[in-house]
Amino acid sequence: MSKKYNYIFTFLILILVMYVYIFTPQNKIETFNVKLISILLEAIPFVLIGTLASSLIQIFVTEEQISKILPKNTFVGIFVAASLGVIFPLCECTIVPVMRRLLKKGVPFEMALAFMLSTPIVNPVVLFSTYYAFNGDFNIMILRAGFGFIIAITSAVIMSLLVKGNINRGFFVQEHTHAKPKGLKELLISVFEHTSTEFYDIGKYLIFGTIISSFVQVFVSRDFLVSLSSNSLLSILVMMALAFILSICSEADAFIARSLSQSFPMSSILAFLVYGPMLDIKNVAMLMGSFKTKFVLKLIVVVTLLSATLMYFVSLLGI
Amino acid sequence: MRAILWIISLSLYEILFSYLIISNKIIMFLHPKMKGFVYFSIIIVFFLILVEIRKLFLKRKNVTLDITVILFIIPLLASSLYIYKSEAKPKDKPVLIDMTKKDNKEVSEKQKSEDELAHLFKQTVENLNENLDANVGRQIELVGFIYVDETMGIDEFLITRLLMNCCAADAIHYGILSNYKDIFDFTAGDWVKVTGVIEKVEKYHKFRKKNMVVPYLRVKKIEKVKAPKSPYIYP
Repeated sequence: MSKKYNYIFTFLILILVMYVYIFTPQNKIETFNVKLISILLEAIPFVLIGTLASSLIQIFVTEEQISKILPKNTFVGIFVAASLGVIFPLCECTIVPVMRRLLKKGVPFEMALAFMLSTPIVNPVVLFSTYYAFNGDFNIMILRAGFGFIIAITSAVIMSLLVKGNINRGFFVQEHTHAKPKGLKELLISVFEHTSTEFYDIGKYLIFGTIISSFVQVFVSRDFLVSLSSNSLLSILVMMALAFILSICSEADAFIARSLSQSFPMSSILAFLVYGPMLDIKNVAMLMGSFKTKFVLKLIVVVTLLSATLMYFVSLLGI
Repeated sequence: MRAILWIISLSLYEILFSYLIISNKIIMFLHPKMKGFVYFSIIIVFFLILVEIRKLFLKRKNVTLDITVILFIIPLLASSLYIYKSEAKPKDKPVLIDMTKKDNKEVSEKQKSEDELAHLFKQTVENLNENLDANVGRQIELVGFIYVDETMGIDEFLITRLLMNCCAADAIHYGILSNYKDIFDFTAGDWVKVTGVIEKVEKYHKFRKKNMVVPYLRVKKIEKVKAPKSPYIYP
């Protein structure tokens, strides 16, 4: 993001935090603190893993190697990219730095997008935790993976039709293309230098998103949101909003979904499980830091409309 | 300037993570199974600090001040404030300084029994939800805290603990709806030991818009107990 916007956002965040500390009662400050710290403690290790992976790709994988293995056909490429998650257990915090790096290395953006949207849902760790959270219910796990995959692919195709031209904000401009480092010491230094730069770059948006998420959670309670749902379409939208606000890791969200599964129809539980890993406040913040606002907004609209429509059809089927 | 601030905030994170791990306060925020990832972060951040310091000595052309580094400081302030607040409470109690073997053993036994109580709580509630019919009329004893919301009737409360699956942000109330006529002598958040008999009642479910059969604890005896170290159950 340009410097001017950075200043404005930082300033807004400062006001927001000051507001919480000065004008809200003690127990709300405590809630704010607990949410903020626990989401960060949960997310930081995975963002570090992501930036580390991104640095390793930067150093070891060349553009030529990438272009060699890329499928020539775009649709085959999207399909393959969305399926890669089955092998890579990356959650939604890890995926953003990795996706940025792949884009930089010349992967077409519709493939990178399919990879980013699908991996946090179809990866084995997330599927296992879903299976475990729902007491060994295979259906939920399969439906979650299936719908996640479908929405990821469809969104990638639609976005490739909607978006033309350059989408990134010129991230990584400060990087020079080094020669491949010689020796282990130089290699390690180079890996960690990349990691540090990128962790700074992504970390501030992670914190930015987490602060907003904690703030909203302090003032809009889960129970209030839940009470808004009066029909199946509304409960789908409510559950998607909840997933967006909560910003919890895709490896843990199935447990929340389980706790709400008695109060909500299955279709909206699925909406929560499918939408949350693709988009939530902290992820959108990280995306905003790397891509043009217009692109991120389009992505949000496409993914949201697709998920809501698909899940609404599912609810009409009586699931 | 940016580099120096960055090193400072990384170091502060390093201190915070290490402190949370050493003091075991991490369990107030994260499920113990996630500890490994925090260890991992401590190691990686340590290396990041090293390369940043090295860079500082090599070149110093980067003098621009990037104000966004403030964002990294906010959570640090929040957490230190929270930790300070949560430490301020038990201070009115004298801390055991005598570190003889016997005391150590006692402390560890007490810790164990706290864990056991939490486990027992989870088992009991699970059992009640799954086989309610078989349990009606049974007398049970639970240690948890009081939670009230607007859906509950007068005299009603939830005897509960918090179920944490991954981090404190995903914690949910887990407990049994209970009834005690003098519950107004207690306040929400009080830790209590309740003894009562299980009943089966139909409650109107606000979100499902229909009546549902739920376990209901008719409390006979209730007494305040000391709050355990952690209100969470870690499944």
